[in-house]
Amino acid sequence: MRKRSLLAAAGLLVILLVIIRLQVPFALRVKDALSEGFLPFIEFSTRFQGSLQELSQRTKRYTRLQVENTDLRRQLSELSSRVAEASELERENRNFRAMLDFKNRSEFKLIPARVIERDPSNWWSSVLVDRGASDGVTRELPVLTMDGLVGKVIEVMQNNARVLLIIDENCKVSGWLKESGYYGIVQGNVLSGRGGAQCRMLFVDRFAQLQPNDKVYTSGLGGVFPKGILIGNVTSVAPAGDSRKAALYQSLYVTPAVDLARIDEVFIGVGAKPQGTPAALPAAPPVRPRLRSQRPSAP
Amino acid sequence: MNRLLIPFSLVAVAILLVALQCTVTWRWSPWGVRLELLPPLLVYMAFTVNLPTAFFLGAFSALLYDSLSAGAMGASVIPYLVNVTLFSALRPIFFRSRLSTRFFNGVIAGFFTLLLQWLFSGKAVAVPFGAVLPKILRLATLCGLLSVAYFLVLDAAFRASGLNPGRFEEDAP
Repeated sequence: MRKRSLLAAAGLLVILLVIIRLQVPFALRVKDALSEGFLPFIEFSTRFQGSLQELSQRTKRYTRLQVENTDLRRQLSELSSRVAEASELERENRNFRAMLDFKNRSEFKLIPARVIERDPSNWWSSVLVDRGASDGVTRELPVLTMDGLVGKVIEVMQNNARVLLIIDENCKVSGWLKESGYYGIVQGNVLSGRGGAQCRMLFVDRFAQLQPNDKVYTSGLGGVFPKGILIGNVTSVAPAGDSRKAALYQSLYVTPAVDLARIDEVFIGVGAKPQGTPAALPAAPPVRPRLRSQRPSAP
Repeated sequence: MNRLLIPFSLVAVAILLVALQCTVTWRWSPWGVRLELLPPLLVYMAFTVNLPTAFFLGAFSALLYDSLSAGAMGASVIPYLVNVTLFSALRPIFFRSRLSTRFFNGVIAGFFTLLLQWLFSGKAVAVPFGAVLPKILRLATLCGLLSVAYFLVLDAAFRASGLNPGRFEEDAP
């Protein structure tokens, strides 16, 4: 065994000596042949090394990207919440500016109030506001927003007041149709929901010529609501049954100008402003006397 | 302590439901009505605690509800107490675990509570019964569905706390 090893080593040495001593052209051919044989392995090794380096770089990049991604996500989330907060503040600011503007322009002395609770009962439509007797609020005061009439104060506590909304059947407002000049009583209609509208205008002259979207304002009669506050728009005329064709009056369905399910801020009208303050609410034209000769003929 | 956990939890649930009714139901009204969240809870109370406790819980819920409403204080007390007493008294003849029991009792509780509330609200003059009946029926049906949901959720919550809210069914003679 040992002899064989010695012989093999000697043979290898001889081959190496022969190779070393080879003529240059022949040596080059051998070199070429050997390198040709080895090159694929070297190439593979180089590629493998490159792949390893790339993998390592990718892993590093991936880790870095992951950290960056987490960071960006966090920043995005923060910015999104800031944008949401900013747009909410902007909306609130716009709203407050409009309210302030409305308050300044209004001919009434207005107390701003925030809705803090809505009636849990299905049978009542009322809201609780954060102003009460300590702020000078009393019963029967009108409550409105920039868009129109909301209701009236029915209960006053020390720091809160309950407002009965105009959609409640127990809230009755003397209404005035601006376009035609006719009067009527606007009453809540939310419980029965007839005509798909939240209010009805009763006792309107049967000869009144009405158009859809005619605006209904407070008439000022009755003493609770000042004249000229927008109540809503006429949606349709309530159909009269056969037995009611000879009725003296017709009734209309009215959609309130204010979205009463979504009110958050309101104004309580606590009286007229001192003289000289500019008025903002649409000035109501003088009351037109309902003379028989002015009525259109019955259809 | 365990004996008081269920009543106190039901008081908390009643407060939460009234708070929800004052806020969410105004903005989200399925089927064109504002959900009545308390009548189905009365059924749950009647089927879960003994009569005096259910009576107390019913009175508490009614007073809480009335204090936040424009209606007269106490207008909901009679409807709530009538419901709680009736369901507590009739409890032995029902299988508490059945979905149909939960649903139909919720419907009945909703119907009678709303009907009595409507009568006591004084709105009967301004709004005829025929006009409000469809609304009451829709609300009663929703109360039935809510009743099923309350039994599922509250029973699961109490059982997770190691309590047995359906104990009365087994104890009943």
